[in-house]
Amino acid sequence: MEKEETNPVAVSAQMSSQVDNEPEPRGAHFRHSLADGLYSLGKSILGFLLDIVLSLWNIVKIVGRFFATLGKNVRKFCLNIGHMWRYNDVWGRASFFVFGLSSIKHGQIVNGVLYILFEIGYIVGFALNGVPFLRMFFAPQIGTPATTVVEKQCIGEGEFAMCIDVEVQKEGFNSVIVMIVSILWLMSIALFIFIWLRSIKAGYNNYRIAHFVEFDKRTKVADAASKRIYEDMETTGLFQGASVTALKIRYKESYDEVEAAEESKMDKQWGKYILDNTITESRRQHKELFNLRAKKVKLDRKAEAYNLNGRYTAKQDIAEGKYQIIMGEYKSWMTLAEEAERDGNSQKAENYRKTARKVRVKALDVQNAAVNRRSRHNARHETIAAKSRLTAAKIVDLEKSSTYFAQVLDVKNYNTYGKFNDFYLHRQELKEQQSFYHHFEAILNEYDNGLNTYEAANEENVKIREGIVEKHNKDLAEIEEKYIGIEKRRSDLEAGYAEEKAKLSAGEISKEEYIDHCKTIKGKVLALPSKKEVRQSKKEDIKNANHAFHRDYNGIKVNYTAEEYAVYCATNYMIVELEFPYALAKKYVKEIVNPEMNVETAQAKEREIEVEIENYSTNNPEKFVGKPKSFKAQLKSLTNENFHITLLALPVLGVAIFVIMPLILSILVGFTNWTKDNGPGTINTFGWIGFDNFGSALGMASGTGAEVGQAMVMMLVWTLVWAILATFTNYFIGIIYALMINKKGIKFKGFWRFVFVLSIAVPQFISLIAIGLMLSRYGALELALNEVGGTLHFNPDVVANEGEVIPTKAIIVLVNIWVGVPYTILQTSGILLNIPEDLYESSMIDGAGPGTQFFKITLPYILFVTGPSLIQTFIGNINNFGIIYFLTGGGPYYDIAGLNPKIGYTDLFITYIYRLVTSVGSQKYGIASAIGIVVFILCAFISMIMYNRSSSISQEDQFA
Amino acid sequence: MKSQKARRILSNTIIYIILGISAVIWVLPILWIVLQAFSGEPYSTSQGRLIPQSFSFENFALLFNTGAKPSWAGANYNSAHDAVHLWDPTNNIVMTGFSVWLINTLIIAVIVCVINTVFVLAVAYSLSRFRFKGRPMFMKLNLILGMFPGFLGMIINYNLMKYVFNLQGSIWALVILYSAGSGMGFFISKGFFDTVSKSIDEAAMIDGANRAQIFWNIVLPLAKPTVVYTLLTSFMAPWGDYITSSYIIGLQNSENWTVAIGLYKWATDGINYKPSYYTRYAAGSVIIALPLSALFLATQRYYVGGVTGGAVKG
Repeated sequence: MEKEETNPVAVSAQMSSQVDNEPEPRGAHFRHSLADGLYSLGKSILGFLLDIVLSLWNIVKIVGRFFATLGKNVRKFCLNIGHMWRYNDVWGRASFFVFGLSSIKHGQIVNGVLYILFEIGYIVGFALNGVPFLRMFFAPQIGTPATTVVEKQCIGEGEFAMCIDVEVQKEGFNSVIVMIVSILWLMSIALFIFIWLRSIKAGYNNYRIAHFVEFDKRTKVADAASKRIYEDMETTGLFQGASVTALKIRYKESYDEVEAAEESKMDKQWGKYILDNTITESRRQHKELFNLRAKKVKLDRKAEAYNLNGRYTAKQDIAEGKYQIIMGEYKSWMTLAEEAERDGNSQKAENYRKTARKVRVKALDVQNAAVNRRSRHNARHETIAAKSRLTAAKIVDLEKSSTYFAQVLDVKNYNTYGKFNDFYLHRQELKEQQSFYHHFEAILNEYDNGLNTYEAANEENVKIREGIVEKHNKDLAEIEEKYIGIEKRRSDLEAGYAEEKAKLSAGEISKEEYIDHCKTIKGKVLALPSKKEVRQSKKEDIKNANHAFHRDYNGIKVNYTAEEYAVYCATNYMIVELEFPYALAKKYVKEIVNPEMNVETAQAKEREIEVEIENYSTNNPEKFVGKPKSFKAQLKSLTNENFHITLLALPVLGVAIFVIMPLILSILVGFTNWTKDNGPGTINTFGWIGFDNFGSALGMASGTGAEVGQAMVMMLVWTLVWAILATFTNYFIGIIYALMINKKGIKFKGFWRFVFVLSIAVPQFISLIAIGLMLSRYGALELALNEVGGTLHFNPDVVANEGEVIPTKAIIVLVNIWVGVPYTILQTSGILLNIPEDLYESSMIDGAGPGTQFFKITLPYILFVTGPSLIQTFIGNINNFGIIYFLTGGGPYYDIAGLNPKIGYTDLFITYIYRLVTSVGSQKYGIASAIGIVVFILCAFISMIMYNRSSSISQEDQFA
Repeated sequence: MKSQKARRILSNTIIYIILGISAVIWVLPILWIVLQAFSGEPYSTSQGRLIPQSFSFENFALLFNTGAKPSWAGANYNSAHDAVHLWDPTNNIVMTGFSVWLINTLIIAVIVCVINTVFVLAVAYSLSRFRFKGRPMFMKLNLILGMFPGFLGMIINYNLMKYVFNLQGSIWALVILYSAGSGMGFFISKGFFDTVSKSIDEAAMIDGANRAQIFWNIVLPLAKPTVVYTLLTSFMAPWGDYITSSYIIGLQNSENWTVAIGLYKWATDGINYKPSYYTRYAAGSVIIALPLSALFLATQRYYVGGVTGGAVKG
């Protein structure tokens, strides 16, 4: 994300461009900002409504896309499994059922044994433990209740024994335990499937490695046909209309040809596999490329059309005309004023001038509107152009990467299965040697050439060095000149102040004009980079110039000895002309210096190597034994390319068991009737009841249903109101405080900051309890107020005292400001310091007051940086437990008879859930979970809306 | 020109007044705690004036009188007192478990801080430097989990600890719960690792170092600030957590309480809405808040960097 592309900077650019020479009267600005404010307010309300609709649509889209990709992935998965089954030997197929057989066959004995042990262990464990638990889990009543069994208990032995019947309670499996264990078993099935896939893949990989050469050969046979099909589809454009079946018929010849060329049955199948995939893949690639190209053309056309937009140009023309007319009016008023002045009627002249000024404001308005229109127009045009550029980049990427399927497969072959191919590597090495001896004569020539010409080269290099020094000096002089120019301009401009002052004291201009002129000069001075900036940028320029100079200067060698230069020439030749890798060229070039080597011996050596290669190929064609990674190597990879598995294993396990498992489970609990009477610790069990909990949470249960439903709706409203209030009061008040602390001229900045940060530093529950105590009945504040004759009640435990609800809520929000504002101050202080100072200065020249500055510069800047975190803050506030719990505990309460626990006026969902679960005598876990699900859906929906908003912004940023 | 200057002075004065009043408001509760900690008033006669009428060190002395049974004490330990306090009229002392709670919390905090740091750094590093299957899902998971009321999961965890791990009311249950999910808090550290240039890794790799060596010897020393930050934040967390600890440990096992539970109990237990032991709560708060505040103030710049840095990345 590029920070420079943000709004505030653009705003400042516009502002400073408007400054020009004419300072604008303040009134106009105010009117502008008011109109702008109303405009953006209306826009944001409309936008918000639109966002809700859009995010609903988005949800539909996301669900649709989810199922589409799911279907696609399932199909791909099945095809993949089928592929691994088809092109495999008996061992590989066997490891579909008995994990690790193929591994054992191919030498990964430890792996194989581990696979098999896991499989046996898991299946036995699942049969003995998992199945009974899962059976209880899916029964209508989860778990088994405790039972009483009558047992005979005897004292003494033999005929003296005294026996009595005793009732003994035998504990069953309580429902929660059954649920926990069952969910863990269900989660473990994912692990089992994962290991199963690993074993299948290991089997397939082993087979492919062992038969690397065969697969390589097969692929090579189909290569030509695949390429032909790919190119044919491109030239004929058949990728658009034709179906796969039709294409298969069209390329029947290629199929036949490949079938004839391949030998065994599996070979033929493989050929067919390649051709089939060639057709589908080529179709996909060509289509994608075609669509992208079409999109680019469309975008370009759109951009062009946008630029030629008649309405826009007409509007601009009209504005221009209007401006001219108004300026004409202004000029005539001014001439009238001058005439009046000449006549000696200064009062009249002043009046004329006043009117003229008013007229000029009008003109400026028109001009501003035109400038705004132009910048909006340009911005939109730029967006389209950026999209087009992005598409072009995508096209280039795709063109580079797209190729026919056999080639793709070939590359994949060598990367995945060929790296164990020692034979291949050795032959490659020999071939390189051969190539060196083959070109030996040419390289030797270069070497000799170098021996002869080293003096000339040295001379040449000395000249180049001199040139570099010269250029460097010139660069430095230029830099000096550039910055001196800026300083000179600054001093010239500043001299203007004195001139104007002289004029003023001479009475040539009025005081107002003097201020106007001074403002103009100041604007021009501010447009120049500041002295500090000049110094810094000069330093940087010089540093860069020096760096470049040293790099170039040291890169050129002047004191070559003959031999050094010759070696350099030879190496250079090998790298540039013969495309040797650098390291190899360095290695082989030593051979040249070897006195025993000459052209004849080199040729002899070349022949020798040729024979060696031939021998190696004929003697060791089957020498290639692809060896799968040993267990040791696999363990070693855990510290290297698979290090992330080592790192993530424990944390992910922890998250899975202690975060995700409880979460899934508590969602499930929402569909059960778990309460105090049938949970763990009792002799009863609970069971599934469908959606009943949601019904009773909404008050659809019998009895006091309607009242409960009403209270729940009020709770929803209060939760949302609270979240909005809490988020935005903290945010804006925090920004205002940060602005006050960071304002120029305010002293003891560190102290003020420290005071606020102190309240974060003290653990939150401590300060919240303290505030709660101070505010409580007979608390410190009430006592203090009583002494001066005031009253204050913050006593949330009384039942339904309507008068106290609003003050209580207000106090909660105020306390939340106490808690949250320091965080905002801490966050925004740093950001405020980053806003460029001259933005404010130039806007001040422009006549912007503190209000305009805040709304046009500060707020957009801060919003840009901290905006994304607002979403999370909002969600956090919906689930803000601490503040309500420590202050009111949810009260005051609605007076609903028979409802336990009572619903409170200040209850958020999360605090009510807490009391549902913890208050004595209720413990309605089922209903609590149902409400939890509702909260989850609410949060998901809200963040979807917010995400919808912010994603549109962030996407635009990507194009820049 | 003159009027501008006057206006500036006026606006600055207003700002000074606002800031001054705010400073008083923001410091007041904290000041109140400190004042109450040194209050010499008998614990049940008043409800805490703004400024106590007499001062003493008695509250601090009471904190460290003997109290609840430590978890390592013998089986014959007799806890005949109730959970919060013991009034011993013959010796005229109030016994508390504060020192035991302090040690409990310290044990939890030290262990959790080590485990958390290892987990967080491990997750952050692997998400920053490796591209593997499931990485995007793991990154999104955090957002989704944050939307669900965490308290519901806690109920399940309570039962898990009680019936499966047999750790009801034990501080080890808290240790496990605090550290198990800590891998999700990787955002700030990941942001930091992202800023450490990858070319350093590559250079080391060419020199033959494996990934583990790069992590331990090269990236971690460079990421010292984030290591310190993670250590300190995870050390501070258990001291201020009331909800999880009180639910998992339960209000009966006062010998296993953490400081937070004890302090809350002191602050709220009382007769007729009158907390009776708030002075002791204040004294205890001062004792734990002092080092924690110092730690926080020392590390706040990392905090700011983390929050804004993460925000810019979106």
